[in-house]
Amino acid sequence: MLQNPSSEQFLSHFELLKHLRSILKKIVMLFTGVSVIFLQLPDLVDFISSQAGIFKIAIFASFVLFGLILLSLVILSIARIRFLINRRHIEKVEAIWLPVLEGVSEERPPLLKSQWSHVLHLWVDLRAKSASENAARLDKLAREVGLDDVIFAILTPRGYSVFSRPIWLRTLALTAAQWFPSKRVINNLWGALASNNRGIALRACTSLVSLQAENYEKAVIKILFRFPEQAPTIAAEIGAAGGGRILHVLEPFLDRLPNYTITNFISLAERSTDKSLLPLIIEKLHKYSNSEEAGSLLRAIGNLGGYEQRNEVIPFLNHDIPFLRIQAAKALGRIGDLSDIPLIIPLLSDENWWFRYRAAEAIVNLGGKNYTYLQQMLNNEKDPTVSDILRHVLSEKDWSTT
Amino acid sequence: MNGLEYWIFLGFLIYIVACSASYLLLNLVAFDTLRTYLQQKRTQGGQSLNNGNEPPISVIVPAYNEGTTIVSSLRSILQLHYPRLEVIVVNDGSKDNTLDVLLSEFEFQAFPENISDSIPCAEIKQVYLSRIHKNLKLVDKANGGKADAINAGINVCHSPLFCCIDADSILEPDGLVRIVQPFLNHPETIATGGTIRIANGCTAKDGRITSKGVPSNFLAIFQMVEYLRAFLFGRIAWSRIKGLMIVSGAFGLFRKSTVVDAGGYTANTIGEDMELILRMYRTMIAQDKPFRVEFIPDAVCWTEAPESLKVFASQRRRWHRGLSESLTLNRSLLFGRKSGTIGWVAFPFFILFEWLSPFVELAGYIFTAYLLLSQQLSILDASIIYIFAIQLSVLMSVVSLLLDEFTFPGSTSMKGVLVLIFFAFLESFGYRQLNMVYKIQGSIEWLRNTKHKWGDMTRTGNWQK
Repeated sequence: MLQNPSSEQFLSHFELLKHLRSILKKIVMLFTGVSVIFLQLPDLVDFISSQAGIFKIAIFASFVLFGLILLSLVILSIARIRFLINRRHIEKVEAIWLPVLEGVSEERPPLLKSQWSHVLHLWVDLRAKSASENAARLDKLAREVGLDDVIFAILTPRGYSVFSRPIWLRTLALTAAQWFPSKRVINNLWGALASNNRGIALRACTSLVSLQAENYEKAVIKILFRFPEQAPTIAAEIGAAGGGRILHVLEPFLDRLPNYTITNFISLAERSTDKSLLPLIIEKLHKYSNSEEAGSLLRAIGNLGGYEQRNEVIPFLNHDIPFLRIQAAKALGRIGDLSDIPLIIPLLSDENWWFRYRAAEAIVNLGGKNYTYLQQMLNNEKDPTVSDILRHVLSEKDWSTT
Repeated sequence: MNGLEYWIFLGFLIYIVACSASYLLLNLVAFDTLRTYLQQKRTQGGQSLNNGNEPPISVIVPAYNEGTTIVSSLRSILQLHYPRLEVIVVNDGSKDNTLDVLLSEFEFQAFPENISDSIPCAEIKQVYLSRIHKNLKLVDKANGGKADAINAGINVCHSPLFCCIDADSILEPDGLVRIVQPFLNHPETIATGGTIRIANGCTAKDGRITSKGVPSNFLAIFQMVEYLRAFLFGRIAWSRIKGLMIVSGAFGLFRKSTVVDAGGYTANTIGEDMELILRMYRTMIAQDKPFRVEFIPDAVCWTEAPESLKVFASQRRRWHRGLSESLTLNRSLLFGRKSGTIGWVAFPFFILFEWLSPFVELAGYIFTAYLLLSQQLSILDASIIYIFAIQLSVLMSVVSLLLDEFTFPGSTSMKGVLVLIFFAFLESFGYRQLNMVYKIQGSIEWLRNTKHKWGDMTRTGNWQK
């Protein structure tokens, strides 16, 4: 009998009713207690008026506190009931919609208005975690069940503003919109960008960036100029959506960003293949604020730069901070010009084994087989850990260690 | 009541009312803050917090005689959902099998780490790197206390932010992603703290909390009520009015450069977490730089509360002694020209209603007894005042439970909630007085400068499987 879905549903409702009944019982008990106190009210008034001033106030304050305690308990009970009802609803929606959105079920149940928010939540979670090969299938399924219509309906302004959709629902729809590149949804996003609500405008902007909509840079610039004090948040959001590709748009705001946000942007640029970022990275390197940031910039130049950018890196080989010397060596290793090997050689005698190792790694990256300096270094290295790591690096590079 | 007695009695009443009013005000602030915070959380619209721009974090786990819980604790930390994580466990010369357990369980091998000397600390014997987890390091050092162990961890870590977690604690998987958010949104953030919740009564498996519940031990239940109160309205409200003076040592995230500038943790203090925050404030004020310390209510860390009276007493003595040390060492903040809310509101509040409270309470009991014996006060009148005080304490606890329900809906069963309310009522009959005694003992220890070592807390680890 338990296998029957309707019975299960009945049982879950029954459990909920049981919960509600126990809570109601407690409320009735409390109400009875309060009533008893009220019945004794005349005696209490006599008692209070017989007390001295201070105690009169204390008794009054005690009653106020008691009332506040009761009020808190009532709010607590209501919050719990709402939570239980909401949980049931979510479980029900999940049971119906998760198999549909994942493509496990062939059914296409009607998407009720009361289910919009939960289904959108499910979809956003599912889509955010999906692997790229699965994405197209999930998007197709979402369109089949009419999620794009739901997003359009939520985002399209209604004639009467008094009953406009709640902000959280619009934000949710804007988040989901980043996977629906239809013209009408993009129009909705541009509309939402003008919203007075910062959260909505920002979410619309990140979705436009994710969609790589036409003129999306304009959206970023608009939002940065409207909310300059929110530059770090905007940078974080947009960085996640568009990566290093739009770093140049953020340029006027870089000074306002926390160091590691800049560093992380540069790391994103480091993974990018967009060489147009190089002038900005080099400019930033000229006025870096800490070694970590400079390290990231050097790595970015190592990845994106060519022969001409070596001159920006070479001065760092003699920098006071050992970490930067190493980053410079690594960057040169990546740029890959053989003529730089003699510049890195002095680092092979650095007193720190880790730097010697990184320098060796840079030379391995730059040089060909049988490079004598490395062989010499390996032979002279007394620290067994360094020799081990060196052999490991060399073997990784298919270098003969014998 | 005679003239003098009347005025003293009135003084005590004014103290109670002032204390209550401050706490009620904090409650209101906490409500408003949490409402805004939860609204913002809801408008994230299901989008993952993890946006790829998180700065690297080093998690420093100081361990002293933590052989029973260290492995599960580290496993839980290694499972954290955080993109750029380095875990540094510091064995502070443990006398039990902590080092052996770690070496064998995580296959550590000696690693010639580049150790910074930015903060002085006891001799580091060896740094190890795990063969299994490339982001896990072990620092084996001579015993120097918890603060010294964290300093050693800071010297070894290479991230701009570091997080301190007690070795017996379990972090929620998204704890770090949540606690780092203020650093992303506000560049001036120097530290953030998360909520500490009592793990007694819960069950943990493979470093994750699998079921939550109310402990069966009475002492632990009292502490649960107390923790809810402290974290769910105290710290939320202080954070909002920029007066947060404590970031718990059990779970806090700090900007490394500011901590180094401030000189790291002070090894010869007991309440190193509070002392550090106050010193960081002083450093930032001296450097005339903007700063921000925030509390994140839904970044949760679970920790074991003492279940035996002996350990509980030791912990409370240590805490009050720590408070005394922190306040006196950083007294220059009090009413300082640039001290802001910290110096003008939070510091005086802590002196009046935290530091002096056990003494005022004791004096109040003695004075009430005197008035009763000299028949200047009737038992009925004394009861009226005491009932008022109890109700106030119950109200604070109920409001904390309410905030808990809003922050973590359904996390405590309805039965559990009722048990907690009952214990909130009971705590005025024994627990509060016990606490008062231990706090006074802590203050005496501080005055006599008695040596107090960390690691007095014996962990059962029963809740971790």
